[in-house]
Amino acid sequence: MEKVLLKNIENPHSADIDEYKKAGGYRSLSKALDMASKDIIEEVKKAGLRGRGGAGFPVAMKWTFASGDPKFPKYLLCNADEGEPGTFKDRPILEKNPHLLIEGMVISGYALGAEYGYIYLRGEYPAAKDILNKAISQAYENGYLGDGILGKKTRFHLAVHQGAGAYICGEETALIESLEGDKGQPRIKPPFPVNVGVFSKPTVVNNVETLANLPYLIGIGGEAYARIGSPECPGPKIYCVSGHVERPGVYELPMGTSLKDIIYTHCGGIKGGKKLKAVIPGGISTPVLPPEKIDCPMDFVNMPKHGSMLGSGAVIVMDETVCLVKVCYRALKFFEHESCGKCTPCREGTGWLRSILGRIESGEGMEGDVDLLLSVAGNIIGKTFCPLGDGAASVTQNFIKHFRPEFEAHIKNKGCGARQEKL
Amino acid sequence: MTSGKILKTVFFVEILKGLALTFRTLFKHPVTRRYPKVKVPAKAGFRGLHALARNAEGRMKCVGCGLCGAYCPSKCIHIYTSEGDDHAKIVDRYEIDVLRCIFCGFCVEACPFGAITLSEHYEYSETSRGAFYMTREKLLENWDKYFAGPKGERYFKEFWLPQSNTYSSYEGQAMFRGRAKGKE
Amino acid sequence: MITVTINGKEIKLEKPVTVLEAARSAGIKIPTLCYHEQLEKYGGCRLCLVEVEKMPRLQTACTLMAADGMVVRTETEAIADVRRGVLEFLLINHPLDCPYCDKAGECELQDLVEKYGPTTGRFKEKKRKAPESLEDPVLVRNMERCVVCTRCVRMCEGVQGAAAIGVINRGGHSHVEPFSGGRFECEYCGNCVSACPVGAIMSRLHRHSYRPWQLVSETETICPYCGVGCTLVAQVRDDVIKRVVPRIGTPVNNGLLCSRGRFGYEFVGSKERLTTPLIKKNGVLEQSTWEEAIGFVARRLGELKTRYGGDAIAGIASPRCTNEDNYVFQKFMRVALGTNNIDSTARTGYAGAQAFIENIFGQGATANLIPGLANADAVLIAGGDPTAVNPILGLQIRSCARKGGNILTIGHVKGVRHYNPAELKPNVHTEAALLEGVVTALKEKKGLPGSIQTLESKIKEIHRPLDDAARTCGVTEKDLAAFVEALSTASTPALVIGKEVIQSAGGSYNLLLLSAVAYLVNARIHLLSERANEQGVVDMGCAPDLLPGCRPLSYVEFRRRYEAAWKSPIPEKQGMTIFDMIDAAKAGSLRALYVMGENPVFNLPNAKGVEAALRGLELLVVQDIFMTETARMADVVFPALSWAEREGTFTNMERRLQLLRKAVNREGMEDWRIVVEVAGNMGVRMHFSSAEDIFAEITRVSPLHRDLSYEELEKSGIYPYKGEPLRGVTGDIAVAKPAAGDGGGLFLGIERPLFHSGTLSRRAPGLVKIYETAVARISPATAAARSLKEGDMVRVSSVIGYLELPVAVDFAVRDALVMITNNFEGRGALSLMELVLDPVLRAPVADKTAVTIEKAGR
Repeated sequence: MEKVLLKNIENPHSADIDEYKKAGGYRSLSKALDMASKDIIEEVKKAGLRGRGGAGFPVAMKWTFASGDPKFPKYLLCNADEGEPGTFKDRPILEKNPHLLIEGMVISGYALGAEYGYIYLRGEYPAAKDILNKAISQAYENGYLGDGILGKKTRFHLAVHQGAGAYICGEETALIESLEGDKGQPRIKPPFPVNVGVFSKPTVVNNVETLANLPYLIGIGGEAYARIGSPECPGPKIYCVSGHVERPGVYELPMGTSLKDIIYTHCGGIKGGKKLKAVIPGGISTPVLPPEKIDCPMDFVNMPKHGSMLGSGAVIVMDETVCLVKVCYRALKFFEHESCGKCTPCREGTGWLRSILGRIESGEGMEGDVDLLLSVAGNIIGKTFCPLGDGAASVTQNFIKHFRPEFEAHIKNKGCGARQEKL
Repeated sequence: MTSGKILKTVFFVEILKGLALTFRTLFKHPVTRRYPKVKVPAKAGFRGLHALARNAEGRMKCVGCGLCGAYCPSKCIHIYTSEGDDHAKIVDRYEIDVLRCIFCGFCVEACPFGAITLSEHYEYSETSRGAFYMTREKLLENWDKYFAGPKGERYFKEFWLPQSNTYSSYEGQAMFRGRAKGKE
Repeated sequence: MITVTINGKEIKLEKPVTVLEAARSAGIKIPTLCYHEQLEKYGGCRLCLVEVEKMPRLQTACTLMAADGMVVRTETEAIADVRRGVLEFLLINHPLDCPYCDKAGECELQDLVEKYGPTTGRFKEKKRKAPESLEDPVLVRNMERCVVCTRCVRMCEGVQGAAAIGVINRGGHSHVEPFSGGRFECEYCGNCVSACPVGAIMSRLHRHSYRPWQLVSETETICPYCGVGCTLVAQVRDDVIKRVVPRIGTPVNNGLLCSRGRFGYEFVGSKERLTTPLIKKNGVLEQSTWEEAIGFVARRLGELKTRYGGDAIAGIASPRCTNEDNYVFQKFMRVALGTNNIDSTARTGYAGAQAFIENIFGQGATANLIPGLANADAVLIAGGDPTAVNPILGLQIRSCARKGGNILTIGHVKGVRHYNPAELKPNVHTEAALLEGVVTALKEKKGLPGSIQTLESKIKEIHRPLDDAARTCGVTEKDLAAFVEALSTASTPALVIGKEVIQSAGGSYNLLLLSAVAYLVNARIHLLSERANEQGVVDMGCAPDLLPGCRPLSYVEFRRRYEAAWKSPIPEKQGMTIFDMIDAAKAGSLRALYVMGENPVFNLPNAKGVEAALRGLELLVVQDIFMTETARMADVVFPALSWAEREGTFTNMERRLQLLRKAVNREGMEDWRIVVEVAGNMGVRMHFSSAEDIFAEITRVSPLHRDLSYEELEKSGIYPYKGEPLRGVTGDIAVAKPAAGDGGGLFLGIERPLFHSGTLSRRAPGLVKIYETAVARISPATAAARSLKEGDMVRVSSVIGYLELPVAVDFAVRDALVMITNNFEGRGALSLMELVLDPVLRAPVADKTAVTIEKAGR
């Protein structure tokens, strides 16, 4: 398959506007600006494009809500707060192909009637900030941003806002709060951001990858785009594979590629020919899969049928040497650290789960701790303000669901079998 | 009147029956105690004169939470607390109007620290009302008098120890064990 | 109409509300922790989760809007589990120190756990520890107990508008902390204390000395400090006020209080209170008995009256005393002593300004509802900081700003600086020129409405083009034009006038200009009032030219009516104002002065002059609760009962009558009873046995207070009255234009701080701890020009005296001013002020006292 999102990234100067134009950049923009804005939305609808942030919400629907709101101005936010552990799919776009994102944002802004856009960039991507800023100034110079884009009446202004390093700011309402200068904590929904978003105006928040898909989508048309990958949610998808595989890295593949294919065909199998123990298919907060369940197509529709979620497409592969109690403990430590503190179950519960797991991991686990973990996780799940707490609880639940004997053994043997083997 | 009844009347049957008991009892030990020369030992759990418990260091256990006064049905417990120099809570006054007390023992049940107790002591007749107004000092004295020694200790343990004292928590769990430093 | 079904019960709703509110309206209880009816929705505690049909997840009742046909269940097994789980989470880090915590007994968490919570804990690790923060003098923070409901933070930011505290850190480390660190550098409204559901933020006053259930007596009464008249609840144990709390639903303050109301109650139980009457014998005040003191005063007053006539005696009433006290006192002066020589310190601003405005617009022009300010679309503030003088009124202005109203200020108003006010900062003594410009521009924009001819004729005389005004005042023309634009486009504007305008040079002219502005844009006028019963003391006729009900003495028919009611003649001659009294005393024509609850030596300008004048009196009688500067000079001192120890009524600045209730018992006599006793000894019988009797007579006599009774007041305050306001007696508008500004140099300014109010608050330890001592506040520029820094001792001198004070450098102070408060004994700003009166308002001119400032020699 031809590379769309990662096109041209072998070129060391791919971030430069001339190189981008040389490779056919900004052609879709002029095509888009010749279309009516509602036709663009129609095209995106035909393409069946879904948000790549993790929830897989149909993009066209979100845009219809926002463009239908009579309030002005409208805002377009690009969620570049790629905080999910294991995820590094947006980084190559931001650092190597920033103009693709900018082009996508201008098209999207035109479709929505939004004249201002922000890229909310992850605090830990300082290099991307400089690259983006440079790309934006180049785009301004070349008339792709600003007032009167490409000689037309269209206006679009774009700025980069760097976060301060909070995972929760990847949640769209928390991102909006943070962008407004408040503490990054999620807001009550409804009203949804498409109606009352940043500065109380209609706001669309889209992932980097989603927006980067737009130039290609407009270029080949919605119907052609819909033929790529799985029919329910088509398009190219970036999978980032890390862990114990021979060739970890970023892979752009059609949506719906099987997880088994990704690990064994594209990444060259498990490192050192060891046995696969577990795979987290879409970033740390998606449910873990045991080896026997990895033959599943990686897309938003089919993954839930196989007991997990696509999430951000961050595949974390773990071989037999890995202690899953420690993985679970480490994940919970992350969630505890990143919990914003707004709602009770997440604020107190993640810490409690972490401390129980820490106890088991360090060999001080007590009988009944596994049930206690399940009970505490059960008290969190479905009761929190935003999905962060749910993520923490479901990670715990799913690790125990698939690997309960390992937890039990940990308590019984007062320590880690896997680690001792490794040593 | 039936013949049987007439016979019973003629031969004083009822009187003889009654006298039989008299004669039988004549040779038994008397039941009446010659109080105050002979004293009745209090039954287990008897609720007598109040005392304020001391902890192992000899300090008053009471932190002045006021629950005893809140529960007291006859409203005879008065507690006054204040902020001490080190900002801790100090029990300035702890007073029981014993004459109003109905010895229900609710105060003891209410106390989270086993600070107020009822002793086995019941002999406290006085000639003035004032003597029955127990101040903190008097109540602590009562502790020294009636709960000192193994007998008092046993009595306290068996009957007045609060549930929270026997409650075992996990190692290292933060539990409130009293923080106020009463003036002794 | 929306119909929802909660627990099988059908509820019909008139307007869209949340499920929680719908349930509450139907009497269904849903437990909450982070919900507070005065605050915005939060949805953080997760206790109010309910099941809603057709919704996959549990929903928070406090944020979910009830929709038509919604079916909600709140009491299922699953929800009980949720509540138990959430409470378990809350408890894992919450210390179990309830026996020690002062909140126990009214702690919301305690109540919830008792009802819904788990009985045992499963948490086996160590709890989070945080030391108690005692750095602040009046507030204590215990962050172990905090449940991060953020009610305090939302209260501070969203209601009080102070934004002084915030949640610091995130996740399990979240805790509430003032941005200033350990000590709160805030407005000390204490509303965070009433918002806190647990014992995390508490007051330090009377800490550890009561448990909530021991506060057996609760009395709803009216705050003794400013003219807003907030309702507060005094909670008492053994005749000591342990704390003061607000109550949601009260008419003026609705659950909010300011620092003075909440932390200023301790003067009631002060050890410095006077206990017995004192009589001066051989130059020393000695303890005496009531009989002796009353007999002595009656005899001396009688003697002086026969020797010199009634007009040689004068009385000073008090804006801190109740209407009943003041009514009886003026009746005593007029009937028993036969003189109209009665006045009060309301004369220093409020009385004159109100008379001036009512002369233009008619009686009741300043009686506007305070909560109505929040609905204004523009508020013009002139002459002082409403958030400091009348804090609860200030909150309504902030609320207005939050709703999108324009805040326009003349001069810098510190209390609204975060609300994006359009500020005009004219040079010193050029306010009149600025207002002339505004009036001229408004006149052109809006035209003259044509309803009040006297005012319009004055307006026609005013002419100053905007550019000229801008140049004279040192503001940019653009700002001025924008200011006028905002004012002229407002449809429901309000005008807030503070004392600094009234006490400025040419105060009457400034007031005329402000009235013109109000007239042209049709604004409601609010006149700031520093004392609780400033309006009441005027309404009760404690003025040389007014009879009760604000009826002018000069009208014969009014006088006849009162003479008939009192069955006694009323002297025709207008009496002396408070300043005339001082002059007369100095001249020797005034022989005796009867002062009720006032401290003229401290509260009038030129303290030394007043003191010298009073020294010449043959008889000085003082009724007060403390040994004040004036009481020390008195021949007889009567100890009065304080605000908390008696019944009566206060009239607040919006002319709302509210009932004071007795909170604590104390031996002694109310002010009115002392006056009645003295009158009785002089042979004038006044048949009053309670405050209610007096009020009954007031309602009979005063046309303004007609048909009112304590029974009605019992329910809530009365606004407006049923009586008839005085209309159609407006006269010509006299004004005195100010002399041209003399520029340059430093002038004395009177600081009116939030934490103090005259001589009452200095006996309240809580307030003194917040604001400890008098300081000379100067701007950074003034400080730099004289190379002074914070804390340096300086000598501030005027032509009549000097004060040595530490310097405080404050950005909010204007460059030409040295701001000093008038609260601390021996260091009052008024002691430096010359007595210059505005010829129309008869109020002292405060901003013309030139001062110099220099480093104090060692």
